[in-house]
Amino acid sequence: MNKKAAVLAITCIMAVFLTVLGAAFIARSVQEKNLAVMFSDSAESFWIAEAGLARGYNELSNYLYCADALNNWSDLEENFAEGSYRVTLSLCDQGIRMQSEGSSRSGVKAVAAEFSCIPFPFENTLSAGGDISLSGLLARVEVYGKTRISGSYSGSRWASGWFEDKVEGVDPSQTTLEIPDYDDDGTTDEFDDFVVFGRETTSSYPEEERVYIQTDGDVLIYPDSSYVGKKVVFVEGSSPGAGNVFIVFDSTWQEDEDLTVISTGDVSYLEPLQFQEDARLSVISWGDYSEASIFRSEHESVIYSHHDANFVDILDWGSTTGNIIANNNISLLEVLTYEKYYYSERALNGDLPAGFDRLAGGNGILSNHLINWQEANAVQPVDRMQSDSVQPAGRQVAGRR
Amino acid sequence: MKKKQIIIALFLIVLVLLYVVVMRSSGKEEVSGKTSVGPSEEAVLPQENVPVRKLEPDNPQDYGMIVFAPQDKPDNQVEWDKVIKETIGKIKSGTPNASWQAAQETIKEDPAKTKDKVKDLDKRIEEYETALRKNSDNAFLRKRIERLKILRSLAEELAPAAVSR
Repeated sequence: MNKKAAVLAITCIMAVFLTVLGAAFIARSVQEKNLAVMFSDSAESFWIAEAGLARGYNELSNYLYCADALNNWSDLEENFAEGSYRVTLSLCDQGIRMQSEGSSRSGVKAVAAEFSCIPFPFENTLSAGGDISLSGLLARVEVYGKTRISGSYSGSRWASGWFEDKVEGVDPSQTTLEIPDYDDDGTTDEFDDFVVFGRETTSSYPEEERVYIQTDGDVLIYPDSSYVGKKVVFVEGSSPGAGNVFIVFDSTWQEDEDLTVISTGDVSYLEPLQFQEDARLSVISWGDYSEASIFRSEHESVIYSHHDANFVDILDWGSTTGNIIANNNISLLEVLTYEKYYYSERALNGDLPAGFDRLAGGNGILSNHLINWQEANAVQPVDRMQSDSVQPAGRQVAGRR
Repeated sequence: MKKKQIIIALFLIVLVLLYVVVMRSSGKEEVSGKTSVGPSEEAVLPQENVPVRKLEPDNPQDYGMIVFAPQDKPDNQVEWDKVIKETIGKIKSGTPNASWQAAQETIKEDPAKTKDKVKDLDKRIEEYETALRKNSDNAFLRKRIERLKILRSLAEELAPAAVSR
């Protein structure tokens, strides 16, 4: 009898052992199957999100201006393949952010793309929020492309100005740039906004591409080999007008160099000379921008002055290619020779120098060039209903159009 | 006989428990699979993925910059000549010879023409300094004189043959 009981007990133990082993195998199989399904659903949802982004891009191409796109956009929620996507649009620092969430059974993935808003003055060669004046002795100034002036143009008797397309009295939104509310105090276009703008622009670049100087003194910069690969130099003074910059003789600039000098003071660009292919030296100044030369000068630049832009004491012929934007006046003062201004489409095509992409906010011309693509965080399916009330991320700017 | 029944009953209970445990764990994975595909899901809209980097002021000398405190700023032609001579010297030494020659070739002109332009600069500087003495608050004029002095120094360094004092 005892022997029978022992056999039964051993049989039961063996059976339990085998059952545990079998159960473990089953559990492992189920887990692997689930992982495979999850991976498959995840990949499928990713490609559905991509399809949503392509659909959104197509829809976005119907809009010419960022503000129109933001104001009139309605989220795209459509079924696609074995799942569905939802495409939303929001404002971001550099323009417009489009996010597409794809879901397929258990998978949810999101991808986001950013498009820059090109400020309206980038359609012009010269943009003045105030007046443009020309004076000189037997001087001639030619401006190719658009000249847009919110004030008026005046020229002296001894100087002649030729403008391919000049319009006076245009709305300031077409000729000026407003500094967005970077310090989040509810007011745009303040000095503090400019400082935060400069810091955020500078810190968005890795150390090897930026130079950040804090000083109330005047800084003399001569772009040489130590600036190769640099994208931004920010000279920050403690008050408006402090931290002036002199940029001297950049003839040793290299091909494809693309540097922006940002200053809280005035910027003087002296004897500019870039003859290297696709090189560009741009300026963003809270104070005045001034340019002067004694020899032939030639350069490509995007110039933005929150106040005046002065082309003064130009003693030899020269040419500037790019865009010149002054929130106040542009003076072509005592030009002795022959000065030409050419329009460059680089900025309008989305190739903005450092910093300028952060000046448009939600206002400007919608660029069809993708400036950023990334996999984004997805909203959980259970929270989707609530997400309609979530405000889009990004800085709000005062509408100007 | 009774012992046998107890053992079989225990065995069956263990089997049922194992079944329940296995089924529950696989069920849990299915549920969790619905809400946690990938590592990054969160129930919020994402913030922009702009890398935030710490911003520390750089040393201007590391980039060849010259910083003038208001009291140390050159205020006459001789001082500007010294600064610009040093500056152009550094540019020249840090530039391949071919590039420097190309730059020189681009701005090359008849020395007589340069001489005339320098004379014109001197005339302007004198004229504006006279005007500034009458109106010392004119910041535009002061900055203009400063720029003209730098231009004159540049002329002396870039076309020394044409400039004579």
